[in-house]
Amino acid sequence: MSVSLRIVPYDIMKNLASRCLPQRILVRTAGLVFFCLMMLCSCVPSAVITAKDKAALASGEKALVLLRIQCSVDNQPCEPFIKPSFTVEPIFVFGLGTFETVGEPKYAIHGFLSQEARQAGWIYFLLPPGIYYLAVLGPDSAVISKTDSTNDFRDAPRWRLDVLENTKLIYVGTLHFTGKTEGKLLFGGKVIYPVNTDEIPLQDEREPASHLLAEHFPNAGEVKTILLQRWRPGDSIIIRTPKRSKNE
Amino acid sequence: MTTCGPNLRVLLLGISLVLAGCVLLPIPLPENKVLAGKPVTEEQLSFLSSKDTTMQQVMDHLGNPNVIWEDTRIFVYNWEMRRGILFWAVGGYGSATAGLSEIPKHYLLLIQFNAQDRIVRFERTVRPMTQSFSDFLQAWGENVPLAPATPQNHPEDEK
Repeated sequence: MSVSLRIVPYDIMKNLASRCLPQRILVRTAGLVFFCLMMLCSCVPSAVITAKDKAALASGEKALVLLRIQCSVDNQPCEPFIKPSFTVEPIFVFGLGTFETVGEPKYAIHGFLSQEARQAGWIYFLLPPGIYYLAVLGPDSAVISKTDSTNDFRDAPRWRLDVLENTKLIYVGTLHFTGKTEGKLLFGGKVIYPVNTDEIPLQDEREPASHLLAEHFPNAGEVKTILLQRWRPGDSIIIRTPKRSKNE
Repeated sequence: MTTCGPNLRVLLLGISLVLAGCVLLPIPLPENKVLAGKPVTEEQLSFLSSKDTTMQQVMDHLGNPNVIWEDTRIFVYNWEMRRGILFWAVGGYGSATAGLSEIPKHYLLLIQFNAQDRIVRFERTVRPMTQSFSDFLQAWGENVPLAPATPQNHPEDEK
């Protein structure tokens, strides 16, 4: 059985290539769009205070819970919340256990009060009164792949967090995490993993916390300090029935 | 129009899954493996039948509860036993993958106390796989027994 080969003359090919120029531009544009989408996909969502949130805060329906994360990697201070990009991924994510999850932490979105606050490691959650269990994953270069993992949050260091009624601004403490590097990622970033997760120091920085909150919420009143309480496997999980909001 | 029986339906479902390149085969096993928590046996519950049993006595006998529902004064002890194994296989287009997963049975011992920290009621029960933990707890917390209470489960009614 013979195989026939069709040879295309050079001038026909040249003609075809010149006609395909707009298609090449299309391909480049599509590539750029794809790159931008990948950049967006590498981001971890962070909350922004909306008008609705401000109203909930003013009415006492929710409280702003402020927490500071500090971190050192290979004994060097490390910025915990570098703005993620295609090549820079977040190294911390958080889980919150609620009444609905019976204390089992599930991925929770945190917010930043400002860019400066973000660089200094201050984060916040807007929460209705109740008892919560905060789980922290990090510093970990692979943390972004663990947001859906129940097991990772279950094994993460956990703290109990009490949000009292009639309290608008709460500072819960400053946590110091340590990490180690081992090897490099595909785009040059370092592989980071957490160490010493059993002993995570909790520091009371109520003065700077009060200043930061007074700057952003001058009329919200006094800042209450209710420090996190470490929860360890074997401890009872305490839950409290949440009060239904007026909108529900 | 003819109707088909449950066995035929299961058979048809099985055939359709096999034809779709997917096999799910649950294999029931005796409950002799603990997957999580510390089991509480029926024998361990004998001390609960007295209406004078206090919260402290419960903790002395059974240890710290896994969950304390503060405002309803409910203690929850939970544990998981293996009820079987699920064999699964997915195939198609020249490749296939298969595996085994353990099927858990969610046991709960729920104990409610009164304001004097004495037992009001208790129940050793199984949470359905389709119901979330919090939904089950809320249903139990709101449950007002319609049927006459059994002395074992409602020690205050022994009077």
